[in-house]
This record gives sequence, structure tokens and C-alpha cells, in this order.
Amino acid sequence: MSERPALRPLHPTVLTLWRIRGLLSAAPGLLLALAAGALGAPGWLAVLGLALAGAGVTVGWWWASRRYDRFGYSVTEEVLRVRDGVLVHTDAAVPLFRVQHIDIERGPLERQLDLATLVVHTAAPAADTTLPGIASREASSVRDEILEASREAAARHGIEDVDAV
Amino acid sequence: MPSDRFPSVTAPPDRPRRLHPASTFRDVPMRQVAGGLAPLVVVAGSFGWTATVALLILAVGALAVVRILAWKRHTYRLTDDAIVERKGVLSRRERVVEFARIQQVEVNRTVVDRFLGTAELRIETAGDASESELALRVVTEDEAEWLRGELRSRRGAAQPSPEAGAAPAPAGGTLVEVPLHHVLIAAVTGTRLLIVPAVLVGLFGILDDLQLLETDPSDVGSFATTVGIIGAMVLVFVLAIVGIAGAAVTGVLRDGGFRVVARDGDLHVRRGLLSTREAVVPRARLQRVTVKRNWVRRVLGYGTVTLHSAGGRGQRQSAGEQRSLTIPLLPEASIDAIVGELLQRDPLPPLLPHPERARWRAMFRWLRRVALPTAGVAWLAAAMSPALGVTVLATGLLAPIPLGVLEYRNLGNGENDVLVVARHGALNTATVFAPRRKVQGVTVSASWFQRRRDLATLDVHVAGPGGGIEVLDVAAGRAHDLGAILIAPWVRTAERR
Repeated sequence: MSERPALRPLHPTVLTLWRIRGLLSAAPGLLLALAAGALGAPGWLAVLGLALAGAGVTVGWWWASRRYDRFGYSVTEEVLRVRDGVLVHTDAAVPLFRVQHIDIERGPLERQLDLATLVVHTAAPAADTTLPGIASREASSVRDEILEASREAAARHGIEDVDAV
Repeated sequence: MPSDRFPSVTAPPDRPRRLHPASTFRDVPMRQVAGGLAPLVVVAGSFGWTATVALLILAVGALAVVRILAWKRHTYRLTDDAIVERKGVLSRRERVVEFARIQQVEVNRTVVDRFLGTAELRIETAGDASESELALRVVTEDEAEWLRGELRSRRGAAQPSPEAGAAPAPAGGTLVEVPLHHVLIAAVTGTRLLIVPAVLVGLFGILDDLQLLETDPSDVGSFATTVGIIGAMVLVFVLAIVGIAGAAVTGVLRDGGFRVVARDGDLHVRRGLLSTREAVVPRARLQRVTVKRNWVRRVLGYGTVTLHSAGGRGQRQSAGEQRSLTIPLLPEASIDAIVGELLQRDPLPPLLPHPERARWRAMFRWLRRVALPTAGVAWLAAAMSPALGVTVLATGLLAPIPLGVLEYRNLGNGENDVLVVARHGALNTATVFAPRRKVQGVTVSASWFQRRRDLATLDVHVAGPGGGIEVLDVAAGRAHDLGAILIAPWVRTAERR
């Protein structure tokens, strides 16, 4: 945090993922517009629905690119660092020897886009760190990289794994 | 890093031991009983008494067989580095808890236990909420004592923990002993009871208003209404008194005889007059110490201190059986010394004030918190009288100013070579201490409002339920610096000691 190593970005495909999710936020507005049209409700209700849907898509689109620009992570000898957040900026740092285990998660949409999400767990659930949008074929190598660095850090500090808490 | 270490099979294993035979009839799950009795109720109507009695005997017999089988199959044994529990009649389950992973050991005894000379022994590990800890219910008192001693000595033999080894062997002796009148004060000044004085004040206010009403003695209806209201208020008053008395009694029974003793690097916490609970937390496992002061206790010059280990929550956790250990009441003057003693670092880090601009944030936070409820209440009040509505609204909108000032005054954070600390709260304050070597990670976050004022919030994560320290609205630079201090050079800190 004081020394700031260059942050790695996520895979650009994650933009597509986030934008698709943003499109889904238009669904309630579209439904409102469709229902208004089908039930013969006043025209302004349909317009309101369309406006909501449009706003959802726009904000979702903007959000995705802003988040992509903000997001960055780095794995140094000692620390895993993750920068995230659009409205609330967060900057998380986990000493690597504290890492307990790492999950690789892939949702249906992520599988289609060849992406994966890494969840790095420590003994404190609040300190768990998520790396969304890692390319599928890189996921296991990023995981191994973190685990390897973690092992080395623990060995360097002379810490038995069972005493990490 | 998952550990592959399992108890070594080559070592001569201790023989499996069963629990106390009383386990068969103590704490029979009500579900089993209800499941057995429900058909009987149906049958009793259609058949005669003979059939019902026969079935009853059969049901009790079946239950007894199940319980006896469960007792026979529930064993535990100690190996060189773990305790192994086996249980289950149809589906067998084996749990292995390594000594090195034990966070907290508890010996609980209910009134019946004390009569029978038995106890329950619980072992907590740092599992998450879904994982239940190992509980041996019922064992004899002697066995519980022996087992606790074994767990302690074998833990030491299995692995001289580097963290425990780093600290010099601490002196033993009683750290804290809470006298009975303090337990009583604690019981009647609990945060949940703080509502009672407020209710009483409100009641007297209404009484005052009622006396102003010009009751016409000839108007029987109005007179009856007044009597009814006064009656209802007397009832509420009596209920409030009964509630306080009840809280006093349960509090004294639960926390009477509270004491914390340091022995061989462990903290023994004992409490309870009828049911007793004795928990042992290795000092090296202490994750967090919280000092809470609600406004009544602050006025009276008291506070409470809570010890947190990383002991898992278990599924059965309710408010009554929290795994954290709270010293019910301590005089203000002794708190710092006791916290220093518990965390083995005296003096404690000084609390640094937060930047002036955090005061605005504190007021804004309070405004955000009270705005909606105030609007709702004011709207209701305005329906009665517009003036009242305006009063409520004005109070609600002005209250955040003094509250924010108070909150800002209480904000503070600091660190020394061993500890990190932060304090927050307006009327009720919480000061949280954590050993730096227990920090699992840090997060600096800054909302849009905070960024405009160059402020940030630093979350310091430690293991355990609800674990963490929140350093609210500190200068952004300080948040990043403190975060970096807390995660990066902890190794150097360890070497310095």
C-alpha cells in the first residue's frame, strides 16, 4: 500500500460479462412497459418503463467500464492487493501467509465467456478477497501463483500452517 | 493452506472412552419424544387403555434402546496430537480436532450437573458458522478436569507454538474478580434495559398531561377512561419493575462469581452461581478485546470488557450462549490496566483524534440514520397536531448535531508495536483492541462523500465471529499508512519482542 506495485487489470472480456448483467437490470422497466401496453394502461406508464430500462442499461454500461478501469490486483512477495469500487472505492490488502484456501468459481455466463472468479479465503471471512474476470485458462495459474507466494511467505516467517489463526 | 496432518497411527493410541452413562437420559431431544408420543395420542382414542399403555412401554423402550446405542457408540480418544470423536448409530461420524487448532475449551455445569458431579466439555476450533464444535455431554467432573489438563499438556507437547513461545511465560494469578454488587449493577444497566428509564420518563410525562385535563366528575365516561389509562400505566410501571428485577436475578445467577485467572499462558474465565461455565482461552488465541461503555455505565463510571477468540460459532448459538466472554462490569479506573494485562501490553496505544472534517461526516451519518424514522413519526404527529409534528421534525433534524459532535469526540485510533485500537460511538462507545499479529487483512474504503473531504474508513480484519476493527473517517493518508503498517512489517514486530 505504501509501495505501490503496478496493478494488473482483469481480462477485458469481463466488460462484456458486466454489461450483460447491466442489460438484465433493464428487465423490470421493460416488463412494466410491456404490461402497460398489453393491459391498455395510460401511455405515460409505458414511457416510464422504457425510460427506466434505458436508464438501467446506460448506468450499467457506464458502471461496467468505470469498474473495469478501477479494478486492479497485484501479487507481491508479501501481499495480495485488490483495488475495486466505483462509488465506494476500496483498497484491500491481505498478507499472503494468511491465505487459507482459494476457490475458483465459474457461473454459466462466465463459462460461456471463458472467465473464472477467484475467491481468496483467510481466517477472517471479512478479509476474503474476490478476483472476478480472470481468463479461464489463467485461473489455475493465478491460483497457484498466489498459493506458491503464500507458502514461501509462510516459510520465510517460520509459521506453521496450523497457527495461522 | 489445508493441512494434511492427521493423528499419527503409529503412536500408541489412548483407548476410546465413553461418556458418562447419564448421557442416555440427560438432554433427550424433545423431537424424539414428541415423535414417539404423537401416534400414541391418536391411538389412545380408538383403542382401550391397555393397548395405549402397552404402546407407551414399547415407545419408551425403543427410545431407551436408541439412546443406549447412541451412548455406546459415542466415544472419544486422545492421540498424540488430536482428539478423535466417533458417534452415530446408523450413520457414523468421526471428528478429528488437532490440539494445535483448539481455540477455546469450555466446561459447563448446570444445576443438575453439579448435583450429579457431571459436566459438559466443549472444544472450539476456528471453523466457520456451519461447523459445530466438539461437545462431550455428559462426562464426570473429574474426567472434564483431566481432559482439559490433557488437552493443555498435549497441545504444548505436540507443538510448541511459535507465537506462545515468543511471549515470556506470563505470571499466573487472578486478573479480574467481579464483586457481586458490580454484577448487580451490570445486570440492571444492560443496554437492553436502557429502554426502561425512557419508558418511565415518557409515562410520567403522560401522567402530567392527564392531570392538566379538566375532568368533570359528573362525566362518568371521561372519568372511567382516565382511571383506565392510569391503571394501564400502573401496570406498565409494575411490569417495568418486574422486568428490572428479573434481569437483576438472571444477571446475578449467570455472572455471579465472575473471575479471570491467568495460568500457564491460558486465561481461565469462570462465571455463574447455579449453572457454572468455565472457559479456557490460550492467550496466544486472543483475537480481539472490546471495551464497551453504554451511557448509563459511563455516567456511573463503569464499562465492560469482552474477550474474543476465533472459536467457531456453532449452529446452536443463541444470544445466551455466545462464545465470547464478557466481564460484566469494571470500574473505569481499572479498565486500561486490565486490558493491558489481558493483551500483555502495557501501556496501551494512545488514541489519536480524527481530523476535524470528520465531525461533519459524523453529523451526516446521524442525520442519515434518523431522517427516515423522524419523517415517519413527524407525519403521524402532524396528524394529531401540526405544532407537534413540527416539533418532532425539528428535534429529529437538530439531534444529529450534538450526536455528531459526541461521535466525533469519541472517534480515535492508534497503534503501538503490539496492538492496534479504534474507538467509535456517540452515547454508547466501543473501543476495540487487537494484537497486530492477529490481523488477517485490511481494507481501505472511501465513499464519494468521504473522498470529497479526503477521508477514508480502514477495516482491520481479524478471525472470529463478527471480527474486526473499524477505523471510521480517518484521513485518507493515515488509513493507507496504518493499513500498510498493520500488514507489512508484522514480522519485524515479532522479532523486536
